Amino acid sequence: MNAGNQIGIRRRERKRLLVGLLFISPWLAGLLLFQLYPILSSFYYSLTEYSLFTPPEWVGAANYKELFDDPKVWLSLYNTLFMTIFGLFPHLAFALAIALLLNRNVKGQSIYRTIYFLPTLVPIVAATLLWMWLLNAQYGLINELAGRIGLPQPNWLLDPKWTKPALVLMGFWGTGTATIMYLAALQEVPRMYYEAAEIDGANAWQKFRQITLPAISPMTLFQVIMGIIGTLQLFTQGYVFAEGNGQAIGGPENSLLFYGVYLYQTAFSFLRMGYASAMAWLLFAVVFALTILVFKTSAKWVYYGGDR
Amino acid sequence: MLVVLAGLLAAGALGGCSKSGEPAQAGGSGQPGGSQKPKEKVEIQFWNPLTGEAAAILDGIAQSFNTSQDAISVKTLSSQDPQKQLTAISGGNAPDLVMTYWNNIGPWSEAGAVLNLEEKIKTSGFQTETIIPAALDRMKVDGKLHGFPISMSMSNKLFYNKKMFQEAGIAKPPETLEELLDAAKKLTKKDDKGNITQIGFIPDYPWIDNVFWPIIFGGSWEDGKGKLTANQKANVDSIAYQASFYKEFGNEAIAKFKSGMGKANTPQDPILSGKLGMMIGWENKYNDQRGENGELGVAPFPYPQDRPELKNSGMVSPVAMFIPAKAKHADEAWTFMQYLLSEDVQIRYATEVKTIPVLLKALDNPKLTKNESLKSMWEFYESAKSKNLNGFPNSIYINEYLQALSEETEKALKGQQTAQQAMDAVVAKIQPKADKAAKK
Amino acid sequence: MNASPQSADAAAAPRSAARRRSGAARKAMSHLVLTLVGLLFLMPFVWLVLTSLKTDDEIFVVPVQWLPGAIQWENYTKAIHAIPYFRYMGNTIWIAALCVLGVVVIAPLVAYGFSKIDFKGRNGLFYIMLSTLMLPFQVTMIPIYVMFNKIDLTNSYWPIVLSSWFGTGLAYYIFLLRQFFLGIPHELTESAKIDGASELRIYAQIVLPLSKPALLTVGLFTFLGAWGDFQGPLIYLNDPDKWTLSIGLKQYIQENKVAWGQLMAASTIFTLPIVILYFFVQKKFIEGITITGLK
Repeated sequence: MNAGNQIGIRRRERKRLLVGLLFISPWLAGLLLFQLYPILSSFYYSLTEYSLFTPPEWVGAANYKELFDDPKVWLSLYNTLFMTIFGLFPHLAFALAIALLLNRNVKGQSIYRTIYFLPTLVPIVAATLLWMWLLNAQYGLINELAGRIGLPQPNWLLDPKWTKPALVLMGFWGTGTATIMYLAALQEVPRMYYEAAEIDGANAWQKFRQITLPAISPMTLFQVIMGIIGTLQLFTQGYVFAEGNGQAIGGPENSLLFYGVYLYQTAFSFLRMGYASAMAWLLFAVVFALTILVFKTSAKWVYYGGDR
Repeated sequence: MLVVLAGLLAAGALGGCSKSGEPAQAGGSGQPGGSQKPKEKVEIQFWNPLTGEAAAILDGIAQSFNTSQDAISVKTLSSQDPQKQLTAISGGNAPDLVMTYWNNIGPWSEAGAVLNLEEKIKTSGFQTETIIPAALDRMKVDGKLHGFPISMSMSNKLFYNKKMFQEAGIAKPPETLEELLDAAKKLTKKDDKGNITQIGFIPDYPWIDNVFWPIIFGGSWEDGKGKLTANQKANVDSIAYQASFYKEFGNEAIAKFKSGMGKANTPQDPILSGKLGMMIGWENKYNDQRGENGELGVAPFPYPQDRPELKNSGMVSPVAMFIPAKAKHADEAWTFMQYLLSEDVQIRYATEVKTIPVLLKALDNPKLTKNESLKSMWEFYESAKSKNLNGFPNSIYINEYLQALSEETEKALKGQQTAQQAMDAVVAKIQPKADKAAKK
Repeated sequence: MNASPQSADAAAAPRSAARRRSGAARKAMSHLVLTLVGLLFLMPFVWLVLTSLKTDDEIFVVPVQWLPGAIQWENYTKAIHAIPYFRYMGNTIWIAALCVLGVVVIAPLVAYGFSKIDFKGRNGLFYIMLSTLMLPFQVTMIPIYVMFNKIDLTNSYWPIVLSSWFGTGLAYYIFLLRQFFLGIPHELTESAKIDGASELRIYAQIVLPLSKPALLTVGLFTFLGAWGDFQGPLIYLNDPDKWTLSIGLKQYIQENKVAWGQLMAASTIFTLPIVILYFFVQKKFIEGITITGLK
């Protein structure tokens, strides 16, 4: 490689950097103008005692130390991770299953697609009423069906062991977005792959395992990352669920005290924005670590049809 | 990139745009002297969390005030929930007068967001003794008034289902707590599988009330010198008393029964449909079903047998008004606040919203006490004069205190710990916060 | 994708009758499952509509009563008159439209930079972008309010609109579009590059036309997000004339009294436009979220 070539490479690299930065500049501008101040502020607050109305007072790492001695931080983190683990993955699997069915070129697809998306459009106050009836331990549809086939009939709304599973169950109604996204991904899987596999005598499972799953893996990556970020910040559902049932914040025995709910309460009810900010940054660290973990493994299971 | 520029420009242009679109802040009352024009009214912003009809009633009152004089114009803004109030005040955009829940007064005052009213009260000669003490006390933070109640809610009655009483052969409502428990037993029925089919009384229906119960037992939460008293005998007794219902009827059984109860204020409402015999009575519940011709009977809430001096006890939860420390027109807001506390306005508001006025003399005004449309409220007006009304002390840590009380009480009711353990745990947790607040 | 040269549609191999029969059976099976599960998914909306036609007393009957006794059309007339319904709806549409406009211009541009241009530091910046999504809103809400208040934008729509254009939420759409762009075949863009096309031209003439459906998706999601947003309008708008439908919906809920029938009627009219919008957009929309370019 001669010197001229190297200069050429460097020049091209510089040009690519410039063009790249220009393309992402609207986001960069947004970051600098609208996002940086709030983000840095919250970090600064996390090192202070801040009641929201008077200027923050510096306390150093005290808030972070307190986090480790606060059982409710860990309880709420547990409740939240429960939802991530037992909520996110079943919901994604369900969304994929429905998408696979919808992908079979069935008649009336438009109608089905709309139906499966409908629940995400219904306002939460209306949906809550329905939940409360469905989950009613004595008269609810779910327990009625469970009773008929001899399953246990838990007290979904009041038994602290069952409140989170109830929320997971209701969460299936919110899978429309993921279903639609998966469906789109499925429709783009090149058909010739399947035909080639069929010639090789692959069965349905093999085709799914070896063609479908890899082909939609970029969408799965997106769903998993956004799902982790989303469920760990779970807020509205937990709040509404407890409230709709006439329960205090956190639900029976704090079984619905999610991290976001406790954080909200700490900031705006207890007026401890400093401590709440420290909680936020702890959550940030958890989410960040999980995301990096997923991205690092993604090289092994995500395949892009295009480049890079 | 063009887009960025366009974006930035848009941001700039929008800035100008919004300014012109903003309603004229008629803040500048100081007109250049010598002007012959009629003095411009000072506009004050009055935020409240009300919605729908209640909001419209308040709008009407502000309207009357605006036409009654020509110095101040009140602009009401409804639907402003505490979250919005807090964000705007903290964010440097405080209105002049705010209506909020009473338990915000403590934390918001101690955090410096609320104007201390003592000075204004003194100079204007406002008679604070005219206000119901139990409601006014809730507005005190460190002994200083930081707001005024506009109205109050009160729980001091026992509501009972008349038909169920008849069927169970109970002649008159219980007078003491011991009688209450007995009546509850008589009113409770179980099927052969042990499932409760109707129940006499659930102490934490419709919610765990960690203020009401200790008041009934003559308890308190703070000794006035910074020591928390939630674990004193009276308070512990109040928890133990509630737990006795769970012991009597069974944890699981009550939980199961509760889960099948219909929603309040519907035909399936448990106390209306004969599923629940008795409950704590509030002035704002079952207005149309209680009284002589209604299905629900009303009695004073029972007292502990050995402490008859606690008869007619009850809990007061006022709706609060305060002037933010950074209000632009604190004086005008104070003028309007006094207007809201005047007898005519208190009566009008109480009549239209169906609530309890906070002005003592309004309680005896025939416009309320002879108004047939308010008949269901009469006994509440009468008992609002009781000396045994009380409420929770306001402080910066009030919401943490209340939360801790709820959490530990829940465990005690379920029998996971004794009442004493529960209250000791609360004090252990919150006393450090009280100590810290006292130091400041 | 429509423009994809490797379109395999023509490659449909002749199938045996037996296979066709088993295909038909499988299709019937799919229909059955989709319909049964679909009924469950239809439930919330059907429930909403039916409830909106009931009296307040019927709504809470236990065990549930699905059909209204006498149909209560007046829930609708009352609901519409209880609040300035159509003004709020107009405001909501206006805000949502502004949000959509900015997002569909900005997000794909940035996503292109993050997927198709291999510049130094790209991955680092991408992680930074993702990480801005990880800080809960509770702790940034007040500083954001302070910021908009300082530049005197409160009580206007701009804090809401600017947040959707430049706030952290944008990263969601950028990430989605990036996944999509990564699936567009390398050869398409590379051959244009060899022909001397600039990145901007490749973006405008190859990538954007290929991703119209993806943009539609992003636009629709943005619209739905803005449509349902309660927090933003409540916090920033101090003038009831500027309020949106989501604030309007709260007017039926008073502290001691909820006008359930009206609330449900209002919710139905609130939901209907987006259902219809979704129905008509979804055909394109489906093709849109795809992230693999080949067919």
